[in-house]
Amino acid sequence: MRTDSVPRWARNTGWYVLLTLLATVVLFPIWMTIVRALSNPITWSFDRGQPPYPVDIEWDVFSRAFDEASFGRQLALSGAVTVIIVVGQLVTSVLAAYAFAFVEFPFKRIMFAIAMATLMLPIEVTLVANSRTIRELGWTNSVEGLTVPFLATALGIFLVRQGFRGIHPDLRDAAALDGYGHLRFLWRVAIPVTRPVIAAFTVLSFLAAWNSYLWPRAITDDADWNTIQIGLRAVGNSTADQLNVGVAAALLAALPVLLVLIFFQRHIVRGLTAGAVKG
Amino acid sequence: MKSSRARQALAGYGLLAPALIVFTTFSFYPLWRVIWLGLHEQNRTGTRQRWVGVDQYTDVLTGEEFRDGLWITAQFVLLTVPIGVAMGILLAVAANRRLRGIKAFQVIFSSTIASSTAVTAVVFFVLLEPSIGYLSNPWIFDLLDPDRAIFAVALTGVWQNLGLTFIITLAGLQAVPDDLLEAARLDGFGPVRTFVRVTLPMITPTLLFLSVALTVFGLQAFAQIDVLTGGGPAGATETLVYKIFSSQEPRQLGEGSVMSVGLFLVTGAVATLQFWLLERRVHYAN
Amino acid sequence: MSTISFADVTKQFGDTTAIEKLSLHVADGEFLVLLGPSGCGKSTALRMLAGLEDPTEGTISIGDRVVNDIDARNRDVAMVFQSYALYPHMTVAKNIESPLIGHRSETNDKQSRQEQVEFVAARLGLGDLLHRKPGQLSGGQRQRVALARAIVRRPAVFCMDEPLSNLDASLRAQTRSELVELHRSLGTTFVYVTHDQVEAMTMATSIAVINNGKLQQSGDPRTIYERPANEFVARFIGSPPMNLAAGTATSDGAGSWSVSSSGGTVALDQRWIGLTEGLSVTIGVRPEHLSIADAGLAATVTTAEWLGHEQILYLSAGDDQFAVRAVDAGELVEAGRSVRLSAAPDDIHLFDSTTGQRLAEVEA
Repeated sequence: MRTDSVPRWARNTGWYVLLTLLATVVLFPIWMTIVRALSNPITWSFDRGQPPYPVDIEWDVFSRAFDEASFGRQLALSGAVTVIIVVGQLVTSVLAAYAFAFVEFPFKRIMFAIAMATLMLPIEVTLVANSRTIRELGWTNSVEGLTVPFLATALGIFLVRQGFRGIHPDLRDAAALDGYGHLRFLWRVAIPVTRPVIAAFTVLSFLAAWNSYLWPRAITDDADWNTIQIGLRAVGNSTADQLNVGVAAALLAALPVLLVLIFFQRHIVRGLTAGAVKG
Repeated sequence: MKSSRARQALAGYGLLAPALIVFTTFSFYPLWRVIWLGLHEQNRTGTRQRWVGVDQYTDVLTGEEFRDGLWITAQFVLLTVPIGVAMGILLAVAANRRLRGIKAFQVIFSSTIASSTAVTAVVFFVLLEPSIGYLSNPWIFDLLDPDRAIFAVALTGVWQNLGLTFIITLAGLQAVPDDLLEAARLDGFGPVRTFVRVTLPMITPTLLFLSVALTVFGLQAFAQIDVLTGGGPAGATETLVYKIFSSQEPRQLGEGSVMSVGLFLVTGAVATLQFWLLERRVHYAN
Repeated sequence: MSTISFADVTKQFGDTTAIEKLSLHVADGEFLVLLGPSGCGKSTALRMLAGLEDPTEGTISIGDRVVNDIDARNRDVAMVFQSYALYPHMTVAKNIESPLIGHRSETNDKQSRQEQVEFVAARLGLGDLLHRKPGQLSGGQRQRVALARAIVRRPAVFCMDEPLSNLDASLRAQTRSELVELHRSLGTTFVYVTHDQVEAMTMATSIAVINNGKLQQSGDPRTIYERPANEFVARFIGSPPMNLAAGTATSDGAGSWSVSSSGGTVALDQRWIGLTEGLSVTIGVRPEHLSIADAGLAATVTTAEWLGHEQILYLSAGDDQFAVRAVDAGELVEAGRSVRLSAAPDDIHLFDSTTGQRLAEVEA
């Protein structure tokens, strides 16, 4: 019905050209990383003059990452730390959010403001003092040191509380008449009904814990206690002939996140946009 | 679920306790502690400390070290935030239409959020590293040139944020009601005018949120510097957080603490300023 | 025994009084409708009965037990909510079973719970829907599930808060008769909140009209309709509402009274007591009791609505507006026509204009 002079097929082609161009910009760095990981480093750089495609492909580079770059140990540590942090944050957030949404207690608003104020105190600000605390507790190079400071987060409390507040008040009253106490209401009604919000927060929590860098860097000084992310630092010191192994490790490090991204795409979008878009 | 006031209060604080303990120990106590450490000077081994009072604050906050870190951090922010928001709009506008296969493009544009800062640093190391990287002539993204290394570091930030900015901006665009756009078309607005006069004002809150988030990320930039440049060359990429990180030895503890307080104030001020500035230009829905 | 009584019950939310000194007694097995405009406090009264709100003052009893300090779950009260309050993540069967789980007892094992759920579901025609989730049901089906969940416990008191307001008109009419049938077969005391007078008149054995947190009148539907206790009740019940006009009482000196208003004079019968010369009164006549006659109040038809089985006429006479329900379908009245209106003295209601209360009458 439009009367533009540009026909539809031409406009669509124009958009496809732009989209492809943008996709290339986004993907090119990843592509080159894959090229470097797979190519035999010597052939790629010296014999073939650094082409933008893989040459003399070595698939065993990924298993070498486990053998030579102790990727396996780092994976286990990152996995354990991430699971502990995510579960811990879920528990503390759900409990606190429940209190803020459904329990009447004195100074509730002040307590909520205090909890939210921690958003102004990221680890970058508290790093100097916290790493001292960790040292005093004897938690340097330990799972406790890597996890305990992150077992609660204002973001989680905020998001889950928002979810709880979205529960129709009639549902609470019905549960009261059905004879549900706090615990049963939380477990049988509040959490199941809020599942999308909780899932979104879980994904955010996972991303933050898995990708965390500054804190594990600050409170570990033993290569045995390197998480995957810290392990990648070694890439910066590698020589041309072993670069491919470190680069392969970086790709492996992104893999779990990529899987989460693919399987939980809906939740990621919801989590990231919570608060960003007025809805 | 009705119970006495006292029992309710007990239940409330019982539920809050785990979070409060963590917050107190690892957020509030350390804030107080950096403030306190900033008032003291440590000896070489950290076994003794001496009260130096506010002097250390004035010395450090007006000193070259802090100013340097702040300036480098500001450069990083000024390079990443506007370009990041602009790229987000570009990607989202391009991908917000009904075309065959658009879903694939949306997945590609979102994909960089799978890349952590450290992974991103490796990705760009592969491209930009002067001796073994892909680009033999990295243009302005030269990791060895003190004047240009910050561009390389900022580039990693922009690329890594693409997925996030795209997802958020696209969600913002999709929240603009169709009837508004149709009304604009009936009013005779062309696509460009519709975007400037209708779409852009409608997504301003989203862009505001995004720019605040990106600024906060920028103020906290660390991992890409640690992996790519180690603060170099010649300290040219030592952001505030990098300086804080490297001043944990007892002798520099006072200085690091003052800079932490400085970072805290800068973060708070930036967030406040940004909201205040943009508040008046924001057109909220409904 | 599940009589209910409110004794001087007051509920305040901060500075606002939702219910003021409510005293009301409900006999066992009654179908009480709390009727009033939205925001009048009727839902608050119901929620206090169910234990979802605490009264600020006064006592509430169910049977001979004062329930003020008893938890909602232990009051033996079930409720159907306006939103139905079904758990969206549970199947219909789980929803119906949920009060049995919350009130678990020894006699209440999984087997017997399942039997009770199936029995109630069959009774309400939900047998085929037990494994669906609320999101997959129509509004009417959801409403039934909510009913089933309330019935399954065999509560002593059955509360309903505007349960029909989310249904379409035809389904609402059908559900009304089903609720009456349900009440008859259960024999339980029902307390039902609505702002819809049709629901009240068709289902209630007893109506309590509430406005601004105060009880206006309680009684069986006939009494409420035929002898409204004050101007509010007179206007609130009936559609179109009762015609009300201001006037002054005058006596002819021989014991006969009449009311003169801007449109003319209306003669009264002998049943009104306590009239005094010059008393400001409000005279009321229901639309069906006004008829077009040869003599009487002169009025002009402003609008005429033909509804098929009857015609509703809106007229103006002096400063007053009247509605007339004309069932005589011989000839339709058209707008613009001048007519005369009259009413039998029997059908006239009188209220004291200052207090709004109905004037006293001799017992019939």
